[in-house]
Amino acid sequence: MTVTTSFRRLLAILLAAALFASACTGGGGDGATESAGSDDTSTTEDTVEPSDEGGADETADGSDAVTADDETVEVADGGTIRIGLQTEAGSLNPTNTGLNRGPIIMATAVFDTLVVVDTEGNWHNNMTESWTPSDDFTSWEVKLRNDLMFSDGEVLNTDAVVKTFEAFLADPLLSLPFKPSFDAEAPIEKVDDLTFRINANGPNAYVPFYFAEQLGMIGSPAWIDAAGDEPELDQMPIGAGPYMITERVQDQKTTMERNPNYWGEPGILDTVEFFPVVQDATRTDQFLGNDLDITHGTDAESILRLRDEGDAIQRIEDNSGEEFMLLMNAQIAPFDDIRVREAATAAFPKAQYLDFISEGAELGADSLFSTDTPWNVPSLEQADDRPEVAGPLIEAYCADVPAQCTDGRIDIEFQHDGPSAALTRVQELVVDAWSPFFNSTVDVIPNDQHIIQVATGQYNVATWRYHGFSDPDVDTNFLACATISALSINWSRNCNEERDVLIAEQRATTDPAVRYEKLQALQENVRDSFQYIVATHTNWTVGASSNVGGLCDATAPDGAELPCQTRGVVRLPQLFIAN
Amino acid sequence: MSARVIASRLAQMVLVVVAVTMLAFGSMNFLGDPLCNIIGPICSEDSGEEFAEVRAEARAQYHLDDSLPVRYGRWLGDMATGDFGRSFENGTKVSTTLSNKLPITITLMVYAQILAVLVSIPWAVWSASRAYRAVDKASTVVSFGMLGIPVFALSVLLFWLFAVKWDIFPTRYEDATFGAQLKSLFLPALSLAVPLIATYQRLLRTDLISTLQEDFIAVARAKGLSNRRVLFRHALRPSMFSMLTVFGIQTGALIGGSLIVERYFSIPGIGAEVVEAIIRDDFPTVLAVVVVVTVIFVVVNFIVDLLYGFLDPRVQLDG
Repeated sequence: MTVTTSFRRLLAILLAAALFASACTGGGGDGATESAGSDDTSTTEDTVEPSDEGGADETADGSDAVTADDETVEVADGGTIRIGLQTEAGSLNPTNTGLNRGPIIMATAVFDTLVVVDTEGNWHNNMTESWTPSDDFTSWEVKLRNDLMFSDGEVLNTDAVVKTFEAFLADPLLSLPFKPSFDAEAPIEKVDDLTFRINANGPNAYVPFYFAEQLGMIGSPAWIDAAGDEPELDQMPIGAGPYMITERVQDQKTTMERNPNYWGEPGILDTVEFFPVVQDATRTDQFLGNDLDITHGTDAESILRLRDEGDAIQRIEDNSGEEFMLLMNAQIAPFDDIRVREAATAAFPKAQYLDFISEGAELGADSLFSTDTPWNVPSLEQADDRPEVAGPLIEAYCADVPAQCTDGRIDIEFQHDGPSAALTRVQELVVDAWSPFFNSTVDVIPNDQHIIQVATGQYNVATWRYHGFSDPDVDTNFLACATISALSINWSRNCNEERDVLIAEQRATTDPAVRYEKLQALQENVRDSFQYIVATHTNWTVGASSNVGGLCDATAPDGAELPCQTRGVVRLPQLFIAN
Repeated sequence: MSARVIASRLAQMVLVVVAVTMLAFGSMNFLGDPLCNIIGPICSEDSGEEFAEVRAEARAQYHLDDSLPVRYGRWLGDMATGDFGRSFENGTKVSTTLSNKLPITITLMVYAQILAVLVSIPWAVWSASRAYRAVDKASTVVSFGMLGIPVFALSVLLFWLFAVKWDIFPTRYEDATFGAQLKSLFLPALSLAVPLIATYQRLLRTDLISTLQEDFIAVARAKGLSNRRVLFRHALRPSMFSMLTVFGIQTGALIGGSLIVERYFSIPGIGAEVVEAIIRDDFPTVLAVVVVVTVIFVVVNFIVDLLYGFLDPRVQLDG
């Protein structure tokens, strides 16, 4: 044997050993690609078609047979579903952290909510039995179910609700969007062990909607107290939802198992695992590589990849909220002048934005309410993509305020958070389109600084994504004059008294037609005051493997059909792995 | 190496760590008021008097009204007892974060180094024994190609080919068993290892070629020893100085590479954590990672120093 051969062999052995040790040991995908027949809920673009599964029958082996499109799907009790999240939670405590769309899936499973919102946009009792308004809708008496229990065995009663609600309102940042809607002195009062009263800040027929998401998540009082002393406990919340966290390593994996004390139908799955994967492309790769069963996100490229999969996966798109927009600060020059705001809107290249940024994955927006909501006004158009209108407006402004202009163009600062490749593309597109009219200085700052500067009004024009609550009443808080202060949630600091009247009127009426009329006028008011330049309604897309069943089977306790997903959030109790 | 020399080296290491912490602490605090990273928008006096109490409480809790040297001294003292403080993001103990994530990163780094050594040494010996022949020249081209591929590009390529397209490796970090962990870390470790392999191969090959021309090698050959024995028993050990030196230095580069690789492969290690912490100005986490990385770096290089003496007993570190 020659030395050459032995070296070659040695090299081959070493390489093989390394590969063998890695490739042939444990773990790996579970090949969860078996089709569940036609129980999938793949949809065409911009439509959501709930599964028509139903009529569960008991079979001989005790499992439920669910009929879907002429095929029978076996609902196997147990199993594990792996969910990829767009973001991880710094904390899972709903009283001290704004839960965004990734963490709120986990929080909904752990806490559940007092009310739920159905596919038609109506609220329904969930952990409550009734909501009884006063005659003038200034207060609501709420009765809890009598079978609510936290996963630690403690009873969920009025004391727990009051504790959670007060803790939420005590957080100076978290409460900002909600505080204006409730009575400042006594927002909540205990009536008895299962009854409490919510006091609104004026007539409000839509108070229950506030409790359909984070504000409706009730934590165990003992846990809230303990977490106040020991922040690590924010990672292990105690709620009364269908699942409870059994293991959590932040940024890595959160494991949940069924809550034995859950008041409703227990979850079908034994275990749910959550994996935060912040890189959109990687999360999509993991999903398409069968290392995740469910993914969600808003990234255009990932949405297009999921669409390309066609019927091989389930895909549900929700364009109902979270508008991407440009904020214009109406309190400082030059955007304190409506001519400048109108010029910026007119020069906004909406068509190019939809082509090059959204790539066909998102709906263009003209107002805060998407075509996927009942509040959209189809005839309402934002006056963008009209650069010919901008020139005379800029000329007139510069003639009046020459100090704000250089070479006939207005000097502005364009701010966005970053570094972000996506936002840089947006900035380049907009700044380029605005260049005949504006001298834009670009300021890219970290996200937290961006929020501070917007909230305290230290910006000219800034990128932003917001709105899209369960009911438009919460959105209107961001448009009111009352929410302009040193720390403002009326981000554009644009006060309009006519608008305030409309906000109060839509809030007080229970007539849907009247409310629509008021909200239509409100949207026109926002458009005509050039408060925002809205670009798109965010497309929250959920992808699920074909063997994930029950995605669209969630119902309220009264049987009302709940959405398959709401801005990326899926409900868990009805999910199962199809045989 | 005498005890005096070891003590001297340890003192140097402590000095390096202290100097780095001073620099890091000072620069982090000069970047801006930490208060904004703790309590958000209400840190500004402009946000109104209603939040004055919250601001005062946070300032007191984090001792922000103390002078920088006092804060540094307090932080250093706490750190010496293993208390790295609490994250500004969520108030959790930084030591908990480190204990969860550091082992993953260290596993990844060790894995990458093992792969690099396993491949580069046989390859270098093979090349050196065929120095300047066509196969050696081809191997040189390959190694320069490996050196030229950026880690991020290699990560994308390996991930797409082996995890997505061919489904050989998982697309996600797994740690249910040690085997699963090794399997899921293979591609990231390989991404980190490829430039190391090329570096080690180039250095070792060059040193080996030089060593093979030494008189003691000629004597060994004259004694009739096999080529394999000459290469591995006589030539390899004295040729490893350069490689060993770079091995220590590359520890720093590996940590840098792990920032990219961990994010791309969604590995919940300290590299991904520090990127997030830097973005959100989470000073305690960033500082703790800086300290840990510095300690790892100096310890590894200290061990490398010790190994010089093992490779060649003539090396006198205290000389």
